[in-house]
Amino acid sequence: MSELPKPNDLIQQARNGDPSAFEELVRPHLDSLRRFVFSLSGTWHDADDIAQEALIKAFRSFGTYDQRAALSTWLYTIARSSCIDWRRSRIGKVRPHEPLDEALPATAPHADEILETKRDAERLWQAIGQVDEKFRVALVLFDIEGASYEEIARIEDVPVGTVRSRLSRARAQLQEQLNPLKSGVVATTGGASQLAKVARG
Amino acid sequence: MSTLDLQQRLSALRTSPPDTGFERRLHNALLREANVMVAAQHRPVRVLSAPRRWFWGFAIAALAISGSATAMWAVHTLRHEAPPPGAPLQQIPSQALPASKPKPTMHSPVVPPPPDVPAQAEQLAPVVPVVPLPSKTGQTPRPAQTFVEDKSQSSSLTNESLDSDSVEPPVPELRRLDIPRELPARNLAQHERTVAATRTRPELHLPEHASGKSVERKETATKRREQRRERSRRNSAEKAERGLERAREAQQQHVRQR
Repeated sequence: MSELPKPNDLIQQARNGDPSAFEELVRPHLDSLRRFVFSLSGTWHDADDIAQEALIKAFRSFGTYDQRAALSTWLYTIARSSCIDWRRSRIGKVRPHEPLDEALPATAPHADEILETKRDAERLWQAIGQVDEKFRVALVLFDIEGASYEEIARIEDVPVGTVRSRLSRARAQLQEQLNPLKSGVVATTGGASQLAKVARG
Repeated sequence: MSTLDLQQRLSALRTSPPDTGFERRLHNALLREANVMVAAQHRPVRVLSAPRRWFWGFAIAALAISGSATAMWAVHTLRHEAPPPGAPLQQIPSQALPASKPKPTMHSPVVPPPPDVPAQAEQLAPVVPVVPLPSKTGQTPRPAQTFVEDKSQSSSLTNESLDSDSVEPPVPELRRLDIPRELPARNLAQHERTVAATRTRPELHLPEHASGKSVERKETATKRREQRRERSRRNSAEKAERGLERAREAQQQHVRQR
């Protein structure tokens, strides 16, 4: 997750309140930001709302961005706090991860491959959703988004050693979640119906 | 599943998220936010100029001062005009009073009151005898008084003042007419008993200066104080003597032992 050098005039324009300059700056990070928020919120709908709110906050307070950290790190930090706020506002209204058959884009050319990709992704996201949130952030940022330990430490405001231990625990929890899932999901009716649907279409 | 496999599977999730029109929404939201920020920057802030600030400050202060002064004046007036507690309110018939006229000043001619006014007032003013109640201290009750406006005096005064070209013509004094309430026979008898019982020990109610007791008491107190001083002086002298004797004895004993 290396930060490409951004022209200073774009940053200056964004600081002056130019929305298009800000859009230019954040566009490369939008997908990873949305994925990161999705891993914490559970649905793409909520993820979009939270990500938008976080980006509006970032735009409003872009004058405080001092360029000491990468822009993505700064954005992740804001997104993380927005997720926490969102979680607090929705105590008792936890929604499960939505099925990914509509959410994930179809990239594979064949139906079997599409189905397999979707099923695997769904399984994985479900398992990730079961990991402790404290450890999940490190897992998503490191293994999916490719952030470094230092960046995660800065985003989470914890020492690098803590990030390492959290990542290790997250992986252990994920493996625990995946092993029973792997044996059970294939036999589920949901999987069979999806298979039939894909075969028809 | 090894960690490597897991990492590979996780990295496979790094696909582009579904297109939900997020970028378009974000674009619109950013434009809205930019407009809000610009509007907030250019919002005129209404600040009063210094003279206006002074003007309004003084105006408010003057209002506050005058308001508090009015309130104080009202309270003062009400307090002084209020009748004493327990006093019956007596309304003087308007015919009994002379017609209100402007006070004659040094330069204004004094017009004598019409001659029929005192007679009319005397005729209309109620003559109420005041029955004096016996006092607790057994003092002789004052003779019954009748509070009636002394018309002759007032008229003579008026005449005198008129004759001497006095500045202030006497304004007929409005006296409060004490209307005694008749005591029921039972209450009166009880009251008389109380008075009689009080008369048996009049010294209790006599003032100190009247009985001369305070002087006696003072003299006695002075004597006692002197006696006390004398006694304490004597005691201290005795103590000192005893101490000296003891010291002498101790010295002698010491000498003897040596």
